[in-house]
Amino acid sequence: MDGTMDLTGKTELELRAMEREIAKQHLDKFPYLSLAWGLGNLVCWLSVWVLCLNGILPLWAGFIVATINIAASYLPSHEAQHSIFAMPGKPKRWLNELVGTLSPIPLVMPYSVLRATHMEHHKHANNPELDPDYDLHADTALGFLWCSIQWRQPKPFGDEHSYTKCLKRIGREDLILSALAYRLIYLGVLCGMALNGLAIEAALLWWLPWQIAVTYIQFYLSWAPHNPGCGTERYSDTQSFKSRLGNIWSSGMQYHVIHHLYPRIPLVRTPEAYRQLKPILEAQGARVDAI
Amino acid sequence: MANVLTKLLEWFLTALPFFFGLVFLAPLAVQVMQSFGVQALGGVDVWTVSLIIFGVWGGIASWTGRWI
Repeated sequence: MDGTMDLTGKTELELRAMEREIAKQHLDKFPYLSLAWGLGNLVCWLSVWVLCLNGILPLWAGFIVATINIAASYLPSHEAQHSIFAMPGKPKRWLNELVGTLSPIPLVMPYSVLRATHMEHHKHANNPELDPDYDLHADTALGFLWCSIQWRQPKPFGDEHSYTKCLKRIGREDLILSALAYRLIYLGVLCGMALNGLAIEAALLWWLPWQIAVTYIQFYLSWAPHNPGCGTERYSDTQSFKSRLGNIWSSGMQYHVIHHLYPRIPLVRTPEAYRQLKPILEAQGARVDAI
Repeated sequence: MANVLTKLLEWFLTALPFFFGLVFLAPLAVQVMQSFGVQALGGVDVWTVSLIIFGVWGGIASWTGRWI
């Protein structure tokens, strides 16, 4: 199918069936790139620590690489959250869980917490009460930046963190302890290094890169695809957008609309799926005019 | 016993920004200043200045729940 397909007279159900046929072509494709990316990125980040602490790599270079590593650490785990490497019960399921668990370590977020909250985001995207990422909604990029800064405060917006509230609501209080353990280990490493005369190294290899990476991830994964003014329905809860940095440097999020419609399509296949599905999505009223 | 432990944990978590100010941000500020050759500010040792500033800032963050 291409952009010239004739959709006149098609019912919504017929359009949906056509949509599924195209989506099927992109499902169940093993994401080799995400596998290499997830594990390689972690090895690279750990290597940067060793190289910088041994004086082999200058700290400024380590800072740049570590920032890129942390910014890139989320997406392979995101593929695993949607069981794209392997569904439960499949032989490669262990690999799915391995990538999901190891990849976001630099981000100081347990896979289990990311998965639980992300599934709630998909179920309730843009719902002010139920979407755990709704705190990042803002009308402007500057407004987003302020929300992002508030998101990482001890009490964001003077309240419990949205992820904590979400985990309590779905009865997964046990995961709050996992998140807490990750946080305490992170703070322990930072403080331990600081007390041993390595505060600048800790700040430039983890603390500051984490701040920058979290802002970047929230901007391209939460704010840009869902703002401003997206709705809560299947075809309105997200949108395509044109990034000034291009698709790769915006984490492939220009085609986020495909991800919300078919979350098990691997990230690298979303541009092609988008081009094939665009006429149908336009007919269904999706916000796909940006690209 | 579980209640006491929960209370202790809650207290510790509330006080985390205060500790973070003292144990990470203050040494970081000192090491940055020392790397530029600054040993004292207004005649006061950089450790004293940093511990006061980041102790107070962290304390406020613990109290209000926000650094900024």
